[in-house]
Amino acid sequence: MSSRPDPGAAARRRIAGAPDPERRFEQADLYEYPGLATDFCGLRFVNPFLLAASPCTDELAMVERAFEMGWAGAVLKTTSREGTRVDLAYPMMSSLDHGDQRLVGMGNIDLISRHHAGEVVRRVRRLKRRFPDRVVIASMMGASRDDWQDVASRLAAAGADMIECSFSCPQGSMGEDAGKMLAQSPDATERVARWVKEAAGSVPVAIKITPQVTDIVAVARALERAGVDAITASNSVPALMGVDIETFVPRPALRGLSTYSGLTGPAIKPITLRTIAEIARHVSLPILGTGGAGDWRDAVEFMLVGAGVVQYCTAPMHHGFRIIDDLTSGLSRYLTRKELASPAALVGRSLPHLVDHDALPRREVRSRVVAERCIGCGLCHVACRDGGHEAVRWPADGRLPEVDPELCVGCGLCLTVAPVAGCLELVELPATGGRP
Amino acid sequence: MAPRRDHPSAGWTAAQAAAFAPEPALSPDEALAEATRCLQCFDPPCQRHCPAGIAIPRFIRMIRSGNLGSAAEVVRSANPLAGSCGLACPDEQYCAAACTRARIDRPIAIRRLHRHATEAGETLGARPVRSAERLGCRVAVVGAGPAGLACAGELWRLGIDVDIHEARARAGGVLAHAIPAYRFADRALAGDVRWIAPEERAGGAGSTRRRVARGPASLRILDGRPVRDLAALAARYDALYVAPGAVARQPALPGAELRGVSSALEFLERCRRRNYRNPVGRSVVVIGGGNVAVDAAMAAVRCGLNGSDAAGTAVHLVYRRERAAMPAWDREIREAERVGVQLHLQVAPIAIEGDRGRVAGIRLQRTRPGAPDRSGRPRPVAVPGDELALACDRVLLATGLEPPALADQLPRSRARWIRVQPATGLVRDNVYAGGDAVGSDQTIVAAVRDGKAAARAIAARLRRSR
Repeated sequence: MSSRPDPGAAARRRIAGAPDPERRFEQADLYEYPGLATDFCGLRFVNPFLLAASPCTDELAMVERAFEMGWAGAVLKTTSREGTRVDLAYPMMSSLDHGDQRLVGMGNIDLISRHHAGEVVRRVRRLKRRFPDRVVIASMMGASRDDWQDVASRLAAAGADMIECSFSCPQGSMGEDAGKMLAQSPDATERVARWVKEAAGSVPVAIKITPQVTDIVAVARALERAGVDAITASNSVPALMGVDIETFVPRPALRGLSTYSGLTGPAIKPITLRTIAEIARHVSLPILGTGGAGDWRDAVEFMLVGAGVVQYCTAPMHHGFRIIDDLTSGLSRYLTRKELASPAALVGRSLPHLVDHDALPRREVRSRVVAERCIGCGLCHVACRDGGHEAVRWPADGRLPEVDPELCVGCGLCLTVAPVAGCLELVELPATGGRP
Repeated sequence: MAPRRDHPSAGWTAAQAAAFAPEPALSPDEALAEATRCLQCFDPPCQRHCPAGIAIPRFIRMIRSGNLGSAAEVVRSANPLAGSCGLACPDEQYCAAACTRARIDRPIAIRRLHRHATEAGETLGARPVRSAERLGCRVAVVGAGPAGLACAGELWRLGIDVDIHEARARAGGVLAHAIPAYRFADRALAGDVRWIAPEERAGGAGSTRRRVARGPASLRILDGRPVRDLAALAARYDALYVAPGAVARQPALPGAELRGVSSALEFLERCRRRNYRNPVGRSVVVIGGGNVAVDAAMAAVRCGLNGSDAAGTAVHLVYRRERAAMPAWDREIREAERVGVQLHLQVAPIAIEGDRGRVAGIRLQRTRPGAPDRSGRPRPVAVPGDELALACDRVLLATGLEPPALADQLPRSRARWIRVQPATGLVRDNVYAGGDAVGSDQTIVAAVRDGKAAARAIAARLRRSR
């Protein structure tokens, strides 16, 4: 069983049992938002927002509280067969800061849950009894065919709505081949996925993959061949969180030693978006989007490139389950404003706009300073002078820069550094105009 | 910023231009930056210190995610006077005073974010959340001031029908009639009233003194309809909420009958009616140390700035205790000083001097702090023989408020306020009261707290008796 006592367990029990002032203060009334229900993999989700397999879902009371607060579902933290050694090292969390913003990225060296399959089976039963309208997904991993099939069949029998298999935990080496994630090998992925499908019976199986592969489409195709029901895209990104330049010890520091973390949070959102989009463009499997979604707008983006539902982890770990009211009300208002009947109407909607580089239009664009919006900071001049094409000229008098259309190639760098919206714009040249 | 010649503030000091111009709304960029500063505290102290109980971190989180409609809904659902409070709530007294962020650098500009959300909500069609339950009861509210409107709004939210009886032609109480217009915009109040009683008036916007009902049957304002008999009203309705506001208390001061002497409250109302173009003469003396006194002194400065005399009007504020004992908020006092109000502390009026029936000056006596009185502040003790005089052509009395005569029909406290149970506003039987008439804080949000608390008590009572 567990190798040593879990120092967090007692505290977590205390927190779960104490009266929660947050409920008193945060559960002020908001309208119940209709029209957020969505069907995915034959399951009905009351809204498309789920908790990802993470510390958020590692205790029963936490999941129950999340359901009470309105989360549509939860992926219980990845479990394993009895006897699997889970040897945690603390501290496990670290923050990638940017300016005064904390947790622009979150690093963790956490491993799978300390709770083995038997305990998770009990929890699945209890959650489904108490919250029949919420989706309970059990996440698992194994080290052998026996492990995978034993745990998957028990979770299926317990009534889990779906089984998610972690083929991609980047921390520790718990996959088939030490040091390598399962999902980095299409062959191993296909083989293990078949085992799980065999054992899960009619319960849908989703495979959680890593973005850290040369060819994500090959992995997705392997899963399609294996007959799985969905893909969870994608897991944290292997990363080194930083180095303390005084002590030379990388972060997180454990008595002078460190290791690579799994990076999550806003920093990895663009990676996740690309992973989801790549899968959605090439295979038809439903996708559970995860990895860097913070607010409702991120969920919309995930769905627009192909996710059917969206899992959250870093955001609730940072600000708590209470963010759900912003997620539901924000998405509902957005759907109303866009005159869309349900979240399903978003899924894949942006994919037609996504092409390979050689299919992009070759048009002539130039940037232009919008005098009324310019605040005279000169950032566009500096960026273009030293990182562009020396096209943004700084005036001899005054502080209004000007773009030389002969030098500007329309790269757009100046727009990316603009500190106020609308101070620069790209204008398209007539088809025959511009430089040859 | 250099004053422009075509602007009314030409010739004003920078402090005057700042004090007498409306506070600008936050731009979307500013609002986002400020919202991002919020720490999103657990068990948020700001929320505990908001008398209306607005879920402050919650609506700020929604501003961050661009979910402005829901942010407005959160604010509006907790505070029926969200628009008015967005402009005039003294957040430095309440939420912002408790803001954890102040322990890092400075508090979040909570009121300005509240205003940002509320104003965005006006165009996004944010609506307050109403309970699905309908109790089939009707409650009368006397007075469409902040407490009455808040109580009515909350009762309506709880599924109870309401008639608001208002003696004057416009709803809003002090917000419609007395609050300084240079820091308040009528459209904010109009937005609040429109939500509370959304239908247009039958007689059109210009109709006054007509007995028309505004709003749907579930919540209507019967304005221009004074109430005379509270007991009769209480008998006709399932419950009664009495919030008639307050009137100026008349001090026993020789010369108070002279022309040029008026209550500061009446003066503030006249200023609003005449858009601060009413003449105030060369020298004004305001007596009192509360916010009404300070507002009146500021308004007198503002009126004086319209005069042809470049020197403007000298405005004196006379208070019998020391500065620390002034009930007015420190920020207001400092602002009054900045615009030119002269403070005379520890002097008490003896008599107003007249000349052919008009005010000519005021005689004052110095005081010193004595033993503490019931309020815990040192009692001002006259220093015999130490007198002084100020020449003036106007005296504004702001020596305290009391409930209007209507309140005589209800039990009073020793300080003459309507006596209520503190947590619920219960007076007796099915009669409740709140707002300035029970001696509340004299802020909009304190009235909102009173109104909401009574509404909840009334709803609980009606549910029990159903």
